[in-house]
Amino acid sequence: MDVDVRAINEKIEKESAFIDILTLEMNKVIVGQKQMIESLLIGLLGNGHILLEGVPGLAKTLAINTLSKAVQASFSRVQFTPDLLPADVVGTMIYNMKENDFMIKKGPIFANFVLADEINRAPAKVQSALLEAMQERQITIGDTTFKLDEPFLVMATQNPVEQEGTYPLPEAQVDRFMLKVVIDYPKLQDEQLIMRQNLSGEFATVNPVISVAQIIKARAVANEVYMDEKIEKYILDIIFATRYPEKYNLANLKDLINFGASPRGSINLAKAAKCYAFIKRRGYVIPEDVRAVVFDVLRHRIGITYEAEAENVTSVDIINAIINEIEVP
Amino acid sequence: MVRAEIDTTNIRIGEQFQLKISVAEIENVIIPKISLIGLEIIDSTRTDTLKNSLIRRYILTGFDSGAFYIPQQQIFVKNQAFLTDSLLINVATIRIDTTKVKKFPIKTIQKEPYTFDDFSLYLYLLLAILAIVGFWIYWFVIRKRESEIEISTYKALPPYEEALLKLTALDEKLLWQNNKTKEYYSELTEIVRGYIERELKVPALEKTTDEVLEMINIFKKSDTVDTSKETIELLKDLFREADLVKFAKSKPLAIEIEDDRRDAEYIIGNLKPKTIIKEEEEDELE
Repeated sequence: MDVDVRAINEKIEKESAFIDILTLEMNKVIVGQKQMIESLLIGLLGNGHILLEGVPGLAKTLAINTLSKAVQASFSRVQFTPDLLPADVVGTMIYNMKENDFMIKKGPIFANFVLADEINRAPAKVQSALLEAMQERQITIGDTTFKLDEPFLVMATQNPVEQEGTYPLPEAQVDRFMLKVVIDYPKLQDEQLIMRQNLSGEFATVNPVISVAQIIKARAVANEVYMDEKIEKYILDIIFATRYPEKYNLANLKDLINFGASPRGSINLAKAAKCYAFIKRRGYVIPEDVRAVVFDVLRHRIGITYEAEAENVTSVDIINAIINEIEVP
Repeated sequence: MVRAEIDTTNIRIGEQFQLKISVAEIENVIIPKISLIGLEIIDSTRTDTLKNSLIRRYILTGFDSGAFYIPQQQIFVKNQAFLTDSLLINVATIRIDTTKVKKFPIKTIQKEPYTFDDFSLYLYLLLAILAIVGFWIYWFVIRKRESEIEISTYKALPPYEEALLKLTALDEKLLWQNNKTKEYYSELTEIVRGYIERELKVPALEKTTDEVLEMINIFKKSDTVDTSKETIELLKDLFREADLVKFAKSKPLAIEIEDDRRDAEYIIGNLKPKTIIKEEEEDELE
């Protein structure tokens, strides 16, 4: 297939103008979380869901809230608690006494942006209901199936602390998130700015700067971003190294990896790299794009063994070892 | 309906004669195995179907002298049994005048002469073993030695000479001249990266363009590398151009490719680690 990269570049130039405006709008409220904002944009463009992990108070919820305000789209928030039921998320059928009939009451999942706050605090059946909807992009209540509106983006948060009474997401379900973004503390200067903003009580208001139609159009262009065979091979090498490290001169990782990334891993890595290239206003993917997203895409897709846990080796260490070994095309 | 005939009624011991059983029907006929006493079946033909009849022939013989009956044979035609006539056959001995016939001792077991087939299996096995051993020697010894020699030829050379040698080898391949610009730039950048890796003793092949440039800039700032800003800029341009060719289907002009080739040679000639002169040596120099 003949691809005209120059034409794609021109399209990107036209369709990516909103990125600066959206980032600017979000930066009015979110300080010092550039990577998180980029990841949210990748999720938005790549039609994938995002799992945000970080200690309390790092503006995870605020970031998602801000993004939904900056986009002219519907937003709903579900605070996951141990007593939450699937019907509280997806909706249920209630009896209408007036009409003497059952009617459907749609749940908060019927929105463009859904914030699943502290997803690991709800039991498995609620998590399953949400994750099934994320995968199928449709909900069945009673006998009626509803297709969820596009864009449909679930942003779930979880805390790495206070693990008592939580229900960790199983590997198979966590695989459905396109990205798992780990948020770190802001830098000193950034935190000073956050502190000043809060003390003065002057909070910037976020205005809607982009429409749903624009996002859908941008998605189509991001999907057109050219990915060369060499980059595809690079992605596959990384993925296969998580599965068969010994074949990539990484025999020392064999005992540390319980299971490698699934084909969803390679699909999402390619998709995220394309979106990253789009954000950087490039009509083609370069190895830097893959490297920029590889941690967020793979950190929740590599299972580590007890041996690795005992040696304090994390999936991030494994990814690091892999990308330091595989030759860049 | 059924008939049994023999071509002779007298035979000598071991002589063969023919028994023919014919049936005047072709459909639904069963000819069971014939039963004989004192006679033996040497061979039999398959049932021959003619227009309105079936014929089956048997070659019989007898190895005892005397008169033998071929008993009535039961043939089934359309689920009905029919019997053939019984037949008499005389088996006569051969008279030998033992006073006149010369006697010979019993011969010992004679060996057959050897043929190719007697050894073919061993020959094929030997050839297969030789092929496996030959392949093993080639794959694990000769090939490995060749690659070691090849690697050691390069490794024995200093990084600069090695890179120059590789650049010359790349020129000889005439890749871009044959419309293989992508392969050309892949190899060109690999040579430059390989040079950086060996000369500066840092991993460069596993790093992206940005990472390599950042690393060189850090070295420059920390004054551990002997290079100019111009060389770093050239390296940046070369890598960027190569990225465009490799990943964005860019097709540079011949003059640009030649420029990049010259730049690559310039870079490897002007990017070296700084020589650290020990204090003692400095004193000696003074």
